[in-house]
Amino acid sequence: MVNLVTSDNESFTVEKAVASRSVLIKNMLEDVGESDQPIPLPNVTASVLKKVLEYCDHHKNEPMPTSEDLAAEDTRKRTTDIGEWDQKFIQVDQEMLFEIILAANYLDIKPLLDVGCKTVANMIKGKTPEEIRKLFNIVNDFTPEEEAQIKKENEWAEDR
Amino acid sequence: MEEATTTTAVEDITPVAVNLARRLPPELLSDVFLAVPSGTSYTFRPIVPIRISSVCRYWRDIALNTGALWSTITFFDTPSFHIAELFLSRSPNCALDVVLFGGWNDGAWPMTKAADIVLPALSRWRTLTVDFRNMVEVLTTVSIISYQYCQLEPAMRPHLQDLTFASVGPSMCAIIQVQSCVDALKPDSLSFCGVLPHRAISFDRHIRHLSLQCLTNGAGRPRMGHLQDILQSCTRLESLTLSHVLRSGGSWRAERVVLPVLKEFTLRGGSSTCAACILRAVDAPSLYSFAIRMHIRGIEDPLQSFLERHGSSIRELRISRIYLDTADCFQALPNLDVFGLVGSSSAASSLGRMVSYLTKPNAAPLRFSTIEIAATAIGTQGVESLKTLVEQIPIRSLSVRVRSRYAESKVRRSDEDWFRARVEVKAWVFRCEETDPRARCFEKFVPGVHSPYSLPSTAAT
Repeated sequence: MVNLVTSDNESFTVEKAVASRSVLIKNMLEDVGESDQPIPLPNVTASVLKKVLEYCDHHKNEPMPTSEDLAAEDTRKRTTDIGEWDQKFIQVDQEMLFEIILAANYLDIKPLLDVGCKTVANMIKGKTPEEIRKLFNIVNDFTPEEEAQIKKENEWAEDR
Repeated sequence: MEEATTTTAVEDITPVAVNLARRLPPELLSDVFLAVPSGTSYTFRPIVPIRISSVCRYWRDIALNTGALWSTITFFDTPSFHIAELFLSRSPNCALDVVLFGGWNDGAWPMTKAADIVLPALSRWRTLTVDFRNMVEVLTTVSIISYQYCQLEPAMRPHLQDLTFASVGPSMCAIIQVQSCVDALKPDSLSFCGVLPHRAISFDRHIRHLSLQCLTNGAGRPRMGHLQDILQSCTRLESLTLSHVLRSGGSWRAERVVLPVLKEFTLRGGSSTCAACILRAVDAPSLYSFAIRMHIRGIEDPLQSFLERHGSSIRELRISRIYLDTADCFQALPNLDVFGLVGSSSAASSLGRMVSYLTKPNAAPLRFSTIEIAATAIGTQGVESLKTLVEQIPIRSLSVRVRSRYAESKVRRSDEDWFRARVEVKAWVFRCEETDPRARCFEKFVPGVHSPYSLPSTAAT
């Protein structure tokens, strides 16, 4: 078993197979060898780690992506397919979604990072800039000059 | 003071806003942008990067620094020239995919001007698609491209991965230009969409990947001998895709088509007469992966004969439907490792027949380790049959991509758990969409009639 300690000082004891879905933790475990020392995760809060561990537990028996898999993924067409369990798993509020992406990046869990990025990408799909701003509560901070340039680019590209 | 007050006010009103806009670091937001699907536009309109870069300053900075986002350079009408210049300036050092539609008629902005814009970046071209429906313009353009290519120092010439021609008609001028372009650019992969290449076009025997996609309405159908000539001339082919090949006459000669290094062969749609001729004639001793996505009723005998001839080398078989008698084809494939039911409207009946096959007294045991399902529907019965197969065949890996849901979410999750407990589930996806509908953009075009902007949406197969 592995003991993980979050930024808000909460402790999680999990199977090694679950924790090792994270390349960061896997490498740390390999470096320190057999040890009861807790592993600090200063960039992840308890609520987010709980969610990440739920993902890792569900996928613990799957083979880890190899470097060849990752290279092949870069060269072939990207798809936005997300498995059904993953889709349900990632149905969280935006705050949590972004936190999961950040945690997956920090913990180096590539498949979870992909699920997060594809989910945000699917949310953006087919939306106008104004709809995207509304969706993510983003403020339009362009200057009038930038706005004019952007308007021109959109006129060129949109179907008439 | 006033400015500071305004900023505070914005932050107060939308505290989450500033967070979310800036929450993801540039490298992650860049990955998100690259994952945004291009949508259902058949016109390659590059709208996604433009929209993403119009959201806010932070997103714009990241989008403008993500070169790959801007690497498809498309010309489809006059304003697209501005867009193309913009995209080129924003994708320095990136490999480029260039698409030249022939769909506008503007004396001030002819297609040759498109070539002027994109040719300085010729050394970065990765793929080129040329639409031949606007014959006059395109001939000059293709001629310029071929000439410029030959002018480059050999070391500067791009290694073109794919060259696609759409709707090349029977005019000798077009044939000559296509021929010189193929000969000059020497692409790895060559595709003809809409109309099969005229018989006067000779194929570079070094072509490794060939895709011939006829129109689904049958226009541009080849004469059988012509198709045979094409295949016989491509002796170095490693992959071959024939889509919607329909017969227009002529006869298939009693000669074999020997493709000694062909590894992947896909036969999709088209007439059973044509398919039967091809299956009887092709000899591909290195064939590894074979896909047949068409009605196989009426071609059982040539299909069986083809599988028996290639049975020892085929490791992957993808088929749109299995009938009880065609299930016997497994006897001919002792080394099959991957089996796919791909492109059928419903996978349930085929899966049921495979289960029935297993109960036949003299059935050869099924030994493949991977099952792939990509269908429109599967149904509860199909999933039950799949479970039986997983229990009776030494399956290690399963992939299910279906466009419609077969049961309520709770049942699907429970089924997924059932499969996960037994095999590696690589995909369990429902309501999946076609990855890139633009790949089919030339399927329904009629030569001579130009209407690229109003194509109907077609179902994925």
